[in-house]
Amino acid sequence: MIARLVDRTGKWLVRRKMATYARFDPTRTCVLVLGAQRAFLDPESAWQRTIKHPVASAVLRTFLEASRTKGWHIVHSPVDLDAAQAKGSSARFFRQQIRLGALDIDRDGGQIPEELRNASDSLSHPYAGLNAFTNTDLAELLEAKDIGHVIIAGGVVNADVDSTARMAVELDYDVTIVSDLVAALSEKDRANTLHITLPRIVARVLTSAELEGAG
Amino acid sequence: MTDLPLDPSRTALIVIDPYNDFLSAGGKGWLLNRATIKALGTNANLERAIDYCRNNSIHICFAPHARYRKGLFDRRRYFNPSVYLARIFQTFARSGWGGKFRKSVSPEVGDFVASEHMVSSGFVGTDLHEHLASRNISRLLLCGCLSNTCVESTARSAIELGYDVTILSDALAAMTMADHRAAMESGFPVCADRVISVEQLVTGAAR
Repeated sequence: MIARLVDRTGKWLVRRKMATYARFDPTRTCVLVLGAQRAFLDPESAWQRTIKHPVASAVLRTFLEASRTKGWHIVHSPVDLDAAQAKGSSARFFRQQIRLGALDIDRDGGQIPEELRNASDSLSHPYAGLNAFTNTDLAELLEAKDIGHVIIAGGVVNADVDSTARMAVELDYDVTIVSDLVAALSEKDRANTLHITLPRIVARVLTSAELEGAG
Repeated sequence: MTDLPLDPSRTALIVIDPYNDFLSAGGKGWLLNRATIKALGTNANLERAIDYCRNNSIHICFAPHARYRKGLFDRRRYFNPSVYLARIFQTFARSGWGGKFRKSVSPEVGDFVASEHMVSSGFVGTDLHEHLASRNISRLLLCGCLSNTCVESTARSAIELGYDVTILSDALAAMTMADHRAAMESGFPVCADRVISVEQLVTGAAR
C-alpha cells in the first residue's frame, strides 16, 4: 500500500518534470521512423497478417505529413533485413521473424514506401540488430541537425523501439514514443512495454493524435 | 537455448547496481524494491551466484550506477524518469551508506569494478566492454538491479556488442512485481539468449 503510494508519487513528480520539456521546438525536434518498410507495412504482408498490433501505413503517413507541417525533421532508419538474416545474436529477433515466415525480405520487402518519404527527410544507414544507433550514422545525423527531442515511431515496441529509445536517452535526447505507431507481436508485449517499462525510461508515451495537437 | 557449455575462462558474472539504497532495508529504494526482493529471494540468490562464480573461477564484474554528488547532472540536457528521480532523491549518494555496495554483495580482490554508468546501461560510457574484451569474455551472466531498467538496458547493450547473454531471473530486483514481470515476459525474451534461475546455474542444469 505504502509502496504503491510512493511509486505513484514518483510517477507524478516525473510527469510534472517531463512536461517542462514538452515544448517541441520545431528546429530541434525529429521523428525517427524505425523499420517503415514494405515487409512490415504492406497490408498483404505476412507480418501484418501474423502480428497482433501492426503499424497502419495510412496513420503513419498522416502523422509524418503533420510532422513535416510542424517543421519537425524526419529521419528514416530502416532494418537491414539481409544483414539481420546473416548476423549473429544481436540480430536474433529479426532473423527469427524471417525464419518464421513473418518477414518477407524478397520482392522489395526492405524498401521504404515512396508515399512515406519526402525529399526533405533524412535516411540513416540500416541497422541489423535492435538498436538503430549501432553501427549506423544515426547519431551523426541527429547531431548535425542539432536535434534535442526524438519522437520514435515504427518498429516493434519491445524490440528495436525499446533498444533505440534507451540508447537515445543514454545519448541525452528527450525521447517520446508514439504509442499507436509502434508494432507489437502480442497484447502482453504492448502493455508491458508501453505502460510499464518505457514510462520508466523515456519522457513520455503519447498517441499520434496527441502529438499532432502538440505545439 | 540452454545447452551452451559454460566455459569459466570466457564467462563473467555482471552484478549491476547492488547498492544499499536498492537492496538493504532503510535504503532509498527499499520501500519499492522490497516486494520483489522478498518474493524472489534476491539477496540470497545474489550471494549464491557470486559464491558459485568465485568457486568456479568465473570472473566477477560490478557495473555500478553513478553515485549522487553535487554537480553530477550538470552537463545533462534532459532528465529521463529514472535519472530525474535519482537526482531529486539523491540516490546512491557518494558520501552515504546508500551509495555503498550491500556488504554481502561486495567486490573482493580480483573482481573488477567498472566505471559508473550515468543512465542505465552498464556499457554506455564505461570501461566494462574494454575490460571484458581484454579477458576474451564472450558470455555474460547478468544479475542485480533493476530488472526492466538497468539490467535490461545492460542486456540490450550486451547483445548489440555480440555477447551471449544469460539473465539470472531470481537474482534481480524491481520497483514493482509488474516491472519485473514486464522484463521477464517482454524484455528478456528479446534481448537475452536465455533466462535461468540461480539454482539452474549452480546445479549445472543450464549448461
